[in-house]
Amino acid sequence: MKQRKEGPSFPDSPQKVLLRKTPKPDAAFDVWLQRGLHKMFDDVASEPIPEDLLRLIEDDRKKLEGSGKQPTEDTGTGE
Amino acid sequence: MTTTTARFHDQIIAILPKLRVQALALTRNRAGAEDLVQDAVCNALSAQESFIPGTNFAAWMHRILRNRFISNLRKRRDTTDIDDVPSSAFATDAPHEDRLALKELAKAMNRLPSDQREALVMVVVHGMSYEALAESTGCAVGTAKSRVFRARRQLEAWLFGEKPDRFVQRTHGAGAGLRAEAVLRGVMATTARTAANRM
Repeated sequence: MKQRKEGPSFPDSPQKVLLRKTPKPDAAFDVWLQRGLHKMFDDVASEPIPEDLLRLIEDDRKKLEGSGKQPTEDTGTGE
Repeated sequence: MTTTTARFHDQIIAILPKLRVQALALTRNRAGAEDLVQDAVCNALSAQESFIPGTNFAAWMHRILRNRFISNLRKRRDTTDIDDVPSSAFATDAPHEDRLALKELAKAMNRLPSDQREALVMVVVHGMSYEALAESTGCAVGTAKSRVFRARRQLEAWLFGEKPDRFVQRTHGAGAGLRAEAVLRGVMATTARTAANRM
């Protein structure tokens, strides 16, 4: 194994050695990653929707109502 | 007002938060993400007659946004690579170590290929199934699984791998790599312990 030239050295933990041998990510990392990603993206999801975007959708809705057009009916299951 | 009209438009409004997250995962840029969502909504409204009733509306919308992103990429290859993803998250009252760990995660996320970053966020943040992810991104289920798996492994390798200093030194200068690794390990261990205690 190569020696680092500078800075403090951290001996490889058994967990780290195991990680190198197995491709399966470890559970602690998954938990940490999940929390980190939620912290990064949850705020974005909960921010108020810009007014102009909502207006765009509502204007289209009104336009369709006015024209008497029937948009497609969705009975999809979402995700 | 017809119920069908209401339903279609209401569904667009309901899915906007998820579209914003997907857009941010793809663009890595707040302003770019907002523009992308707006473009995708415009596309969806003009193509609403092509939506097939009974099929997955969420997948249809996510695909429209993704296609728009790819189309925009082709138009202008000079995408800005900035890491303003979690600016508000950094401004929390979280301990210094947590903020540092989050910044390292954000930087590592920015280095992932966009398809892997998108897949990871949609599965981990949205709780989307691999099947739904595959339908939303127009790929096979195996490909969807593989993208998420490779993203996780790559992040782990960058943040905790054999040469963590190679990544961190680039952004924090020489010597910071090992300190950052130690902080990340500490934060991760604390998170895991807290999670275990709550079970």
